[in-house]
Amino acid sequence: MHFVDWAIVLAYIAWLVSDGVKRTKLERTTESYFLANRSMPWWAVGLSVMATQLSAITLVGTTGQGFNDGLRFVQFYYGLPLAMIILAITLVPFFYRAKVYTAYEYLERRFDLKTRVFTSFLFLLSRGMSVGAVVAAPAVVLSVILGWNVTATALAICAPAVVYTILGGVQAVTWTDVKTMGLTVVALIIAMVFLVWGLPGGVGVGDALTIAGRTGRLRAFDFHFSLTETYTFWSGMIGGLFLMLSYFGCDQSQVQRYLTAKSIDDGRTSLLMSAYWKIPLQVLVLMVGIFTFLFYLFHQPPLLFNRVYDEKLRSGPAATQYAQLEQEYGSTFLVRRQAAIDIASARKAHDVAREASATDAFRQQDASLRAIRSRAGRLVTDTTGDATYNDVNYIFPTFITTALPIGIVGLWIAAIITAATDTIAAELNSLATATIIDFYKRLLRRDSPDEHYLRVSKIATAFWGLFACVVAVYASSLGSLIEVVNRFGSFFYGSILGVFMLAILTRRATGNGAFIGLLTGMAAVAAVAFSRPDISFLWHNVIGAFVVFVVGMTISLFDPSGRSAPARP
Amino acid sequence: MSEPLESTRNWTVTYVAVIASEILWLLLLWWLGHQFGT
Repeated sequence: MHFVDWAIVLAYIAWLVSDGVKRTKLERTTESYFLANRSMPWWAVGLSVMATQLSAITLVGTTGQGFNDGLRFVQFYYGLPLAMIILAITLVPFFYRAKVYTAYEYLERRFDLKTRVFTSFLFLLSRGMSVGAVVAAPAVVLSVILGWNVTATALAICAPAVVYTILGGVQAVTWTDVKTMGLTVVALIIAMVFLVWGLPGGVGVGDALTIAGRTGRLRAFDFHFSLTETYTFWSGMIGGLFLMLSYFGCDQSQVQRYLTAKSIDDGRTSLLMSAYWKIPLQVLVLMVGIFTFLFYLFHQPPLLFNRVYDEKLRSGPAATQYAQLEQEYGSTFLVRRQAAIDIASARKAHDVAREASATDAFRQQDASLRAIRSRAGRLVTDTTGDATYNDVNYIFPTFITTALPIGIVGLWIAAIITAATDTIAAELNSLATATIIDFYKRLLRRDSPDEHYLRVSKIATAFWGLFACVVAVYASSLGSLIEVVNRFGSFFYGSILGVFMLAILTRRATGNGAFIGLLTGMAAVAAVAFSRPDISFLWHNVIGAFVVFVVGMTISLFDPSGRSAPARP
Repeated sequence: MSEPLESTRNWTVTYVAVIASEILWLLLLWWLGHQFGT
């Protein structure tokens, strides 16, 4: 990377940290540290909600999905706007009226202590591990693409977030999110301009879109109903709806964002910002991926986007086979390129017959290229033993580092690093809040002065930051453990939503009903996940929420304690 | 200054606008697929 790009990355990270440090002066109480005294403007909170969801893997992985599969992935978000409306009507007013710091604090007021402590514990367990994965995934990609040391890359991502979150609390997190969302959108638009500019003379945007459409990459709807497919209209609308309800309504890393808004109305508006803009933003990210595919129709890409594996194959025992594949790849690429140009020229001449034959030739060569790439993938597996080889996360970073000019590369690397940094910061902030409010203050020291809680809050943030760095650095050896924890996380995500449904939809539900319902829901999801691993994880949330609600209500009806709390706090 | 604990505005129109905007985005995506995908 050129020194100008280095300077841009370092200057941007330095600005984020220094701005976070400046906000230290404002953090005098735990309410300001965790909730910014409930004073943040709705637009900043709304951007923070979007930035927390948008991680570095969204930028490198989703563009790769656009490259391979086109717009199909956007269906995952079709349930999001409806989820935001439901949350704006239901949970947001409950949280604001109850004046809570954490979503789980509300569950004690409505049910009992054990339900609060257990749900908060589940949150700490899953987020604590996932925050390490959020650092590790982009660190591995950046280390391969830029040739950096993976440990140093993980620390470069993690350290700024830890520093400004400890010092600046939720205000630093929110204002950093605002900057990063701005940088991300600007970087995406600039990439799009360069991608369109990279199309050869005689191939316009309409021609390019036609070629993308002929490969099925502009298909944003699959109305086929299947429990095993994640990216269909119905999985997105129903499974996605429940996932988004769980994530934005019951996950402290998101709930804490909108609890900082000035009022119920501002909290609602901030959530609805995602309802308006998430789908178009996701389409923009996928379109960048599609145009990267179109760019590489006319500029030959490497056979393997992962450079480390490319070098291993070149110097390994399969070097001859790899060289033959590369030769075959190069000649097939040229034939496909010509077919793409023929489609564009036939379109311009309104020659339907020639366009159809060029399209057939193009599809044939495209299928051949895919076959060559999958043969190269098998060669990677045979040579390195990596059975899960997939270079989807390396496609767009390869474009950034090889096709964009000096300066823009730095801008993009800064965008990827800070997208990860922001997500971590929001998670550290929420992990510290749940640790102090739901455990330390509630169970260990109930009546200490606020300065004491502020001090231990900063220590808790530092602890979780250190934990995240350690998990990230050792992520490669902890890989299977992280996978187990993430899988465990998917068992209770929908089940916690079921507890909140019991809390706000019915007055009859009791603490015992909610708690036993939660355990049953988790067990039901685990049973489905192990007995039918082919069922998409999106449906786990629907199953969990449904089982918790039904079991919780049934037990509540027979609960001798007969305790029922009013539905409104 | 304390902010009101209850909503001070009518949200129905906003919710309808959110649903309308999603429908418009989906129609745009459908049009894109239909226009260039056949």
